Amino acid sequence: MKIYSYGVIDSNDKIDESIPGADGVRIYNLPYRDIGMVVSRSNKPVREASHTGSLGHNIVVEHLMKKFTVLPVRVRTLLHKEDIMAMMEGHYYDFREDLERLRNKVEFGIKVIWQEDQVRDRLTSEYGKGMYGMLRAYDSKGKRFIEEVFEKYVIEKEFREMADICIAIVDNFLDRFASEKRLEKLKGKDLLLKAFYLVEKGRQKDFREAFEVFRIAPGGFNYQLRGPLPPYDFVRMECREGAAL
Amino acid sequence: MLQRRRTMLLAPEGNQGGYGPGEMTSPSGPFKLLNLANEFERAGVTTYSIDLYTKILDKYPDTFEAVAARLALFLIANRYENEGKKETAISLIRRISAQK
Repeated sequence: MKIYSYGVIDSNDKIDESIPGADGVRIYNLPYRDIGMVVSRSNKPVREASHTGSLGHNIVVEHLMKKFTVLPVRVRTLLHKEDIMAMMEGHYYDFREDLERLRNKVEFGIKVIWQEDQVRDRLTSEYGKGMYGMLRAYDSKGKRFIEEVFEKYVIEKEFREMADICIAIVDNFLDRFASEKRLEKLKGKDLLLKAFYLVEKGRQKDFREAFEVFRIAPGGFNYQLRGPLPPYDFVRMECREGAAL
Repeated sequence: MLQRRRTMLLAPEGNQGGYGPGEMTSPSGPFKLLNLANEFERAGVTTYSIDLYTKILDKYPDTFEAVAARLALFLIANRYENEGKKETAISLIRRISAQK
């Protein structure tokens, strides 16, 4: 039997209610000891990946989060029942530990956008103001070439260090509301920071209000917030073959 | 090491780079201050970090470090405000605004 999985929950009880987002498909709990994997049947090929059902998937997971602690499985994960049972058996204690760690917590994702080229230009121009920049005018071609390479290296290094500090400034402000975090630095053009914060449900409002401060903050950065979300970025689940879900 | 490398390349006299004495030719002057300020902030020594961030605004107002310092001071001011230290917060915001 092919099964579409939504996540591990801290209960082995039956799910009797109809759940929004499932499009009328019956969702049930596959129990293992005192926990369970919430699933639905599927006729699609096993482990097919698609984004078509991602909205429905998220609605189901968010609905489950109202009643249970959930270790959410990534969108559109199709498995055989025996793989799921093997995974539950093999990782039971990890799941228990994760469920405890994520109890009453939600995830917020933030992005900080800056104008990367402007920052580099600014650093380059500041660098050129130094005596080193002035001396360069008198250098021979060969020496100048080496120094230009060196300068690029220095600018790049300063750029990355500057990114670290800007990230630390932002993170200092939000960190106090989070019990865990994941920071991804310079992962794309103009993307200074992509961060995930795990926040106690009771502190969601504080986190949101703190984030709103950035909207009026000086600096010219652009800030984006997503959440509250299921804690996708704070769990890692593997099926029997070791492939991440 | 970079700093040493730079120092070797620099002429010994004069302050022609627009930076303060002792930092005359290195653009790391404001960067070092920013780094230090941030270290103090993360260590919870906020008063020192405010002094250093403010120093960046005063001495290097047109640098990217000043942009970062202004953001840091703004966020510190907000924290003060939330802690009920409204006067300190207002005074900090005034300092930031004066430098704009």
